[in-house]
Amino acid sequence: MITWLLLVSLFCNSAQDRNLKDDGVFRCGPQDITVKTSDHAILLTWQDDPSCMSVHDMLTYEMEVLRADKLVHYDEVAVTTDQIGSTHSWTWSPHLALECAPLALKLRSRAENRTSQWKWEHIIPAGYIHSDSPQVYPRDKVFQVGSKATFCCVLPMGQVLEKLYLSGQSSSDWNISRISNHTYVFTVDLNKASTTSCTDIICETKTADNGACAYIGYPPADRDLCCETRDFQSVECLWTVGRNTHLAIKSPTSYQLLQSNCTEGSSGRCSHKVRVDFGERNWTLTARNQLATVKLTDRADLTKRVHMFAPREVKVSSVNASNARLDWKWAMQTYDKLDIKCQLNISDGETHLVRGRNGVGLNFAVLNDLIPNWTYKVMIRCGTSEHFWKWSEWSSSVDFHTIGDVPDALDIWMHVKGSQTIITWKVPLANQSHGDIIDYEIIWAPTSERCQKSRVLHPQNSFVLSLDATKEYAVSVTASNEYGNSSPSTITIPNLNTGSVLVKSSRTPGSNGGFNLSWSASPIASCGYIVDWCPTKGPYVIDWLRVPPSETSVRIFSKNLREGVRYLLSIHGCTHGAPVLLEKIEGYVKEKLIQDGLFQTLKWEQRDMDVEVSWDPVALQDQSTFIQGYILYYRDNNSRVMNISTDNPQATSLTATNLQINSYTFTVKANTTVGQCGATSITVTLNSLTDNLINAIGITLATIFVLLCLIVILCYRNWEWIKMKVYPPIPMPVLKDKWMTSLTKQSCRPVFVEMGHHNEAELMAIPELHCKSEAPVKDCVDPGNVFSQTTMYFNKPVENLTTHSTIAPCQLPLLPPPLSSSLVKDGHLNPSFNLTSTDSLETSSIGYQPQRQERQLEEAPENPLPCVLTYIVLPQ
Amino acid sequence: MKCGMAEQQQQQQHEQEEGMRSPDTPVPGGSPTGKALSLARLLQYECSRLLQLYTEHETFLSEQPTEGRRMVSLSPSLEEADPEEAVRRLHAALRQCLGLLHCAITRAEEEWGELEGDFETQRDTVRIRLEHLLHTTKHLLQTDDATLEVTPDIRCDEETDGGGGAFQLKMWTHRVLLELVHWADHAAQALHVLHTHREGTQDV
Repeated sequence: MITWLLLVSLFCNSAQDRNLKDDGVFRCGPQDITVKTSDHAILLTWQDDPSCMSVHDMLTYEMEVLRADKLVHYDEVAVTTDQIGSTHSWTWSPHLALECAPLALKLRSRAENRTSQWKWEHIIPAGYIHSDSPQVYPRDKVFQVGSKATFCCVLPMGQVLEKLYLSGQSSSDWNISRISNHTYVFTVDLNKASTTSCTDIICETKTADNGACAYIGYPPADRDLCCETRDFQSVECLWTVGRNTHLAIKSPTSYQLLQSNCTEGSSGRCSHKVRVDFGERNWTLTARNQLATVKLTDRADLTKRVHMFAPREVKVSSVNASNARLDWKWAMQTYDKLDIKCQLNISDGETHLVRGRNGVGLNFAVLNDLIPNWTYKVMIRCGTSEHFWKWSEWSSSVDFHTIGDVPDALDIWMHVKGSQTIITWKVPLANQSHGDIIDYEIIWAPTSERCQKSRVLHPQNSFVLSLDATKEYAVSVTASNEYGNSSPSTITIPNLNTGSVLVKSSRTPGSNGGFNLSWSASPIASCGYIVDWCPTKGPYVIDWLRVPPSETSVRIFSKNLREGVRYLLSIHGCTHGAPVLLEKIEGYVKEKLIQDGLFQTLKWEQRDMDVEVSWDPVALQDQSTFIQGYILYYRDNNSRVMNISTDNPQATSLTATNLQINSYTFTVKANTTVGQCGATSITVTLNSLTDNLINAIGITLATIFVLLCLIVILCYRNWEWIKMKVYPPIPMPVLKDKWMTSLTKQSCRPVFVEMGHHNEAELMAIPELHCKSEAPVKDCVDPGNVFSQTTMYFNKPVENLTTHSTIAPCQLPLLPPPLSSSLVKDGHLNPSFNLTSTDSLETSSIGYQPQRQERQLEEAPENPLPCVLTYIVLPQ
Repeated sequence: MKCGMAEQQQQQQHEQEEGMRSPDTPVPGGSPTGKALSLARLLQYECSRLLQLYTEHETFLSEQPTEGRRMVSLSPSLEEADPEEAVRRLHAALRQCLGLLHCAITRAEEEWGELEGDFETQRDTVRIRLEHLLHTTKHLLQTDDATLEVTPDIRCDEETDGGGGAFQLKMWTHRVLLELVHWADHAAQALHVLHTHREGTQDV
């Protein structure tokens, strides 16, 4: 039985084999083949021949693709026994565009080491070689920068390729080959992104040109996805947009968040309505263009990523001098239950101040420590206190102006200039005045004495006091505006006569337009230090700044500091009493060369064969740098230059020695820390010593001769007068009988003779004036002098007479000088005696009676108006 | 916004046209033919500038031949027509040019979107100027018997613009621009002849 069954089976198999192998041909093959092309791909479908049903093994279909009779691709499709009878398909995307050349597809089956006949299919591009111009493929395709691309140019029938190239790219990367009679293939590395709309691939023949566009760019490169919620009802994701893909025209990047399109994705922001629950989950964004798809994922619990909306309807209420209240509202009602912290940005146009506030549902804040009479701009931003994620945007800003107040206390300082003390203060800035300053009140007084007051109008900022240098003064200054007076600022002016400690001055270099000062800490500076500075060249404006006790250095910088001007800087210790000078410093912000012509009064003097060149001391205001000394250059006619110098900055002369008789140019320069400068020159010609001697003798002789001539002329013209003086005629005495009687009648008539040629009558009239009791005349000659003259020329009795009478001393000079001697000598009054010298008078008066009479008068002081009996009245 | 910009642009152009100061162009008188001639010369200059901008942008086009098969053709020849007939025929040619320009604008916006560069600005200027010239020549030649049309004379389709992708669009746009330059030149010449004929002066 079994044997019979095996025989039947063998018969059946042999019958089927006969069907498959009928005529020696394997009949199981493809049938109903269809070929479709789409998007540069080939889709091949077919069915099995019915004879394939008898195949018991795996059935394999072989595909071959030929282009221009050359195999370009081979593939196989395996069909299992259970798939036999169904429709099969195969797709292939050639690297070369289908339009480039006709393709031949060969398909056959293979099973049990047998193969069917090849079935042929042909793909011929539409219009192939029938166009009147070359055609380039692929067209308008997107490529990634850095990829290799292959283009082909299909030439019309009978045309020859001239040129095939990619516009804007180097030809070194090109590889052109011919794959058929009409088709050229062009492979190129795409290294540059398309900068214009597209990159052109151009094919040229002798008669026509044509080409294709290629869009070369980058895949999306977005990154750093971060998702948050603002309203607890939606998710908002932000990311960093990658570089420009250069495919915005052909294939712009599209974005999807939670499978929903993002219309504004190119800005790196997308939001989507979603229920916000506690707990972490993934938030995924997809960025896609024709080159690639990029997925970005952020895992987050959105309840911990609350990005609040900015406060809205911000208002300022209850504005006072130094505080104000700020109210606002929330865009979301859910914020009312949040623990919120806020930042208040308070700015006044120049400075920004950020202050913090927090609270549940916070919707107001009080701003303290504001400047009175000041305009502020305030804005606010907030975030959650718990699980703080990020600040909201700033709210819109609100402006407000605080109410005015009394000014701040002034910053005052003092400056002693000669006998005057200048009290100066810094004019309050707008943020210190709190209103328009009207005036300043200055009160000063020596310690524990009654004070004095004065007022000066704004904007004056100094007041000059002439204080008693032996006392210590307290000076206070207050500023006033419409709201009242500032608190007083007081400074103590030290006793300037106590002999302040001599403080040596040092020098400091300038630095970047200012001074960097440092000093040793002083224990007496209990309330810090005051550094002041003043230029030595006008305008002489003193300025100062205060340094806290903990600091011993400061940088002085001011727009008023000038280059080339010496500044005198002082460091004072601030004490509870008067400030104490600690250091004095001189310096320049920047030293500058002194201009030529510094020595305006350059003088020279020849001493033998030396020449001393001298000048006036250089004033401080003329020194734009520190002078370290002087150099005198001198050059003779032979252009030999010599010099002599001094390191003494106080020097005012230099001497050039051992010079020749020659013409010299002397140039004096100041030697400074920045170089030699201030050159001033004079040119002199030296004379020989003999010349000088001859000149001196000649001048002396000429002078003597002229003088002698003058004397002779004078003597000749005044010979009579000289003769009178040298040999005066001696008058004969005239004696009358009753001269004593006559004298008695004129009992109180001392005789005075005035110099000159007065006649007797005039001489007699003068004494009468003196005898009368007259009121004294004041404001005249010094009594001492008068007395000395009296002592010299008059006898004592006369002196006593003068003393006891009421005649003022100023009248004494009216008395003629030396008369008594001559009178005594000759018993006559002789005006010519007036010309005799005092010495001769004194000498000649020895032993004369009038001198003796002096003693007599002294013995009778009770006679206030004695008659001088010894005086002889000249005859009429 | 865009409409507002277009109005502003038109106003500027009209102001410019009042002066009729195209480079190296003498200013004709205030007669209708003189104004039309000035307008044609301004268009001539602006079309040349438009072509220059395009070839600066698409450099490969600078090597393309500027003379080729006409996209707009007229028959019989203009040389045989009297001045008014020549202008009438040119009016028809300019309508076709306007149609081509409209197509070029539409196809470019389809292919690349609405771009805002110097070329696009100049292109809109030429379009408005061409429309203005068509209105001017219409009034110039208007009679009781015949009224000229000023609308574009070509519908946009693949046959018109060549189809075949962005590169072919560039090539075709280049041809359109060359056509514009060509017919703007002819318009200036024909209007000059007409102006001379009507006004009897050569001083233009």
